[in-house]
Amino acid sequence: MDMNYLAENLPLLLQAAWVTVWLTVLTLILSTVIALPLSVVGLTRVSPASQALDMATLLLRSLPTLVILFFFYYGLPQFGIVLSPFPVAVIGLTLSAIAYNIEIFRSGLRAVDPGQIEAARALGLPGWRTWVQIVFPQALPIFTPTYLSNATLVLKGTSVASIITIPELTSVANEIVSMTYQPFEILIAAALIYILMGGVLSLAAQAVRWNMTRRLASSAKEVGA
Amino acid sequence: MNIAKQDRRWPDRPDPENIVELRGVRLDYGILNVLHDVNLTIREGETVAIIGPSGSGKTTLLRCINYLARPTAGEVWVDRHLVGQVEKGGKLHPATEGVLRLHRLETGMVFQQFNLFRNMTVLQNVMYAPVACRVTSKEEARDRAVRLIERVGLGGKLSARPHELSGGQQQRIAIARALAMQPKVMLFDEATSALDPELAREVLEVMRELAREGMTMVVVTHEMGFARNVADRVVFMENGRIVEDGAPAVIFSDQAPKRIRNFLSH
Ligand SMILES: Nc1ncnc2c1ncn2[C@@H]1O[C@H](COP(=O)(O)OP(=O)(O)OP(=O)(O)O)[C@@H](O)[C@H]1O
Ligand SMILES: [Mg+2]
Repeated sequence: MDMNYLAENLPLLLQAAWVTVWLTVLTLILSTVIALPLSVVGLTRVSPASQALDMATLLLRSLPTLVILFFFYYGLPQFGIVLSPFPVAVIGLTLSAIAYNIEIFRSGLRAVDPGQIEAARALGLPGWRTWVQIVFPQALPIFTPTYLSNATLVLKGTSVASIITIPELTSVANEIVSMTYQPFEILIAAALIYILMGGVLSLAAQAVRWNMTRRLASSAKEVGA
Repeated sequence: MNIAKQDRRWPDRPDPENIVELRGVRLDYGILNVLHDVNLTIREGETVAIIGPSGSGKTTLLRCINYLARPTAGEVWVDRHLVGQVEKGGKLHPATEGVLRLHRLETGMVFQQFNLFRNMTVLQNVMYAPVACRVTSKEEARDRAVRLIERVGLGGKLSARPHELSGGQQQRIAIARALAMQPKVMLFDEATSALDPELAREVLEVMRELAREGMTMVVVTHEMGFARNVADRVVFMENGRIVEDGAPAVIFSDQAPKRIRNFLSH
């Protein structure tokens, strides 16, 4: 283990890790915010909109993220739309994450007994309250484990962005190795950084989950007891 | 909740004594005709029991009264408001979900499976909807909820969660939850079918008390004792139609039509 060699290149790796963090965080936030309301569509009754959504998510889940990235990066300029690599990476990663998140949220929402939705309708409660204050709090603990493991997949999946010249962790590590021909230290360091980020992600998600459970409970308290 | 304005010019409103009036209600699921020309009038303070074989359309009829199921044709009137439809330019149009929500405030519903909100305490279950639908202030809702919960005999369970209660207790809370909205009519769909006889009795007792206090009630039930002793009228359904509608003394007598006697002897 050549510590000097490692110390020399560590700043580059950390800088690249920072790009990976940004890609992951933006992708997770965007895909979650977009997928949450969409996951409710078609849950209680099938409509043309819900069928179109099912088709779209099926399509997105079938396409490798790489193909989606290529489409936006090399395809769109042909139509005169040129985006810089970072937004393209965020859009591409988000699109495929949305498709998975919708499925993950739905499996949780479906596990909540629909009789409560019927009861809420009979009471004259608005739909958003039913979803946000009754169904969602019960679905949350159900889908959280799957959501977390998917978030780790998103983190690892950011490495495909290397293909469109994003200087994230994998591509920078690869670049260093291809110049120095000394792969061992660099790859170990990159792996450790990924493991560290994965751990932080799990902890953060755990904290968010705690917080949400508390907030939802107290928002029910505002109108309840 | 002033929905009176929307249909004030409606010509043939029901008699004000009629809390529920169904006129020519028909409902199809695809090619399946579930309700066929149902006419039913329920007067204020009346308790009407609906009986009939499985699949005859009892649940569907109940769900038409609060428009959880939209009839294919016909009119549903609750407390002199036409439910699920609005008049615009002299013509009737299907009501939006927002308007339907207002219409549903007039009816309370109790389900076979109780359907309490599992993430809320007993007190939250009962006071949640009145506050969320802005029927009352929070303080008033809480006071009324506490009184209702005491009235169904569960004053000691305010902060219990549904899963900590027996089925009979859950159902009594579900009744309190519906009553908290101060509905004009209460709809019961086999409220005791999921319960052991022992637990069913405590729920039936609450229902009997409610009937005695003058609540208008439509009760789909297999409890013939309740239909016979508590209901003012008994409606017998078969194949999506009301085939008999009469006093319990008549329906449960030897003079009743043969198909009713056959049904009751099962
Ligand atoms: N959402 C639906 N879609 C299709 N068919 C339905 C639906 N709901 C009810 N039905 C059908 O309508 C008919 C009447 O059903 P309903 O539940 O009203 O009967 P019921 O008298 O309440 O029976 P039970 O005593 O078993 O509760 C049945 O044939 C049923 O299969
Ligand atoms: Mg039924």
